[in-house]
Amino acid sequence: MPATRDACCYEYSYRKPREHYAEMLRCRHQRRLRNKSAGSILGKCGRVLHSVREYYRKGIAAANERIAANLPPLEVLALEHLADSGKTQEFDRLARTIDWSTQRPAHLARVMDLALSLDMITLAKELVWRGSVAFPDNKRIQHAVAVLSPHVAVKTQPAQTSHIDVSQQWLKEHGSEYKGQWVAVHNGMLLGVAPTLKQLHTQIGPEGKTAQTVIVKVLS
Amino acid sequence: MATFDFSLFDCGFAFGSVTYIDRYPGDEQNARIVVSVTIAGGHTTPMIVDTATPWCILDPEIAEALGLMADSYAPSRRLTIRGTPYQGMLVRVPITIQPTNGGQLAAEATFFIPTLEPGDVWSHPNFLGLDGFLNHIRFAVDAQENTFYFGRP
Repeated sequence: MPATRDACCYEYSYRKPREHYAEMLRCRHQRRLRNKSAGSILGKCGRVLHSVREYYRKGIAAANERIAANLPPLEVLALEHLADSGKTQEFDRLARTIDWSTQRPAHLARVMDLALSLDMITLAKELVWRGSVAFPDNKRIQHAVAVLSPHVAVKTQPAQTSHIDVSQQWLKEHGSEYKGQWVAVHNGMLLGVAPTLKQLHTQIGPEGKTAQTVIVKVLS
Repeated sequence: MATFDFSLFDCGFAFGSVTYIDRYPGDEQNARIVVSVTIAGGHTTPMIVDTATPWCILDPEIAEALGLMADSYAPSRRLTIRGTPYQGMLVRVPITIQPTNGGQLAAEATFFIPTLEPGDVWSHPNFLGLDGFLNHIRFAVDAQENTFYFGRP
């Protein structure tokens, strides 16, 4: 069956005019049908494309809004930059001038971590203290408070009989014979030696795992 | 009994003293102040008294064995430990120092527990650091008699 007009015409010379006319009508009909369905598909595609473009545009706008909302304020970005370039004095000065109660807890936690990474412990503790006041319900800040809080309970307890001194002395004299190994010493006597702490615990058993047993990994 | 036990106990500076060893096991080259410390009531281990280290530092194997990581704070950035940056966790741990003379010291200290990559081995000693512990007590060292004195602030 010829699919194109040219093919129809080509066959003309071999057919009778009537047959050819019928054939031509059929071809035209099919062509119309094809054009109609192609047009309909194109129309549908156009509509889909438009919707996609619209969704995309709205998505970008929403994403931009979200990014803008979560973006750290300029001061925090400046602190990041100062930390990365090791300018600790400027970092300290700027971090102390910011009113953290108006910032997000996540940004404060970030600056706390920057201070910790710079070994600026006093500043980190001050930020933790400020955070504990400004964000009493924030889990991460409260976690940091629990760990870094300067309040440490020191208690005196009566001394118990201890053989730790003799075990320490044993380690000083014989430790180098067990380089890279975990050793357990109790009352100045070697209880066990193992390559890992787990294996050492298995070796010495629960009776060896007391506060009177000194356990250490000898440096290699 | 160390020479200054009575005078330091009497004046209230210290309430206990402990004899320390001056070498960390396996490191004979460097003189240290090494005190045995009981961690979380269950594990006594030698630790170097080091005022240059901010946190107390504990071998991650010991921390894991004692289950210390449960209530920890994990900073998002690496902390520099003896010149090398390590990812890890800060955790508050009860410790005690058994005295040679006087009373026993029980306190809470902040430890850094390194998080190691698979296959990595921790090859540093344990430390008692300044901000994590020493800043919260009174302490003195008599290097002539290898005695570490400790008291309440």
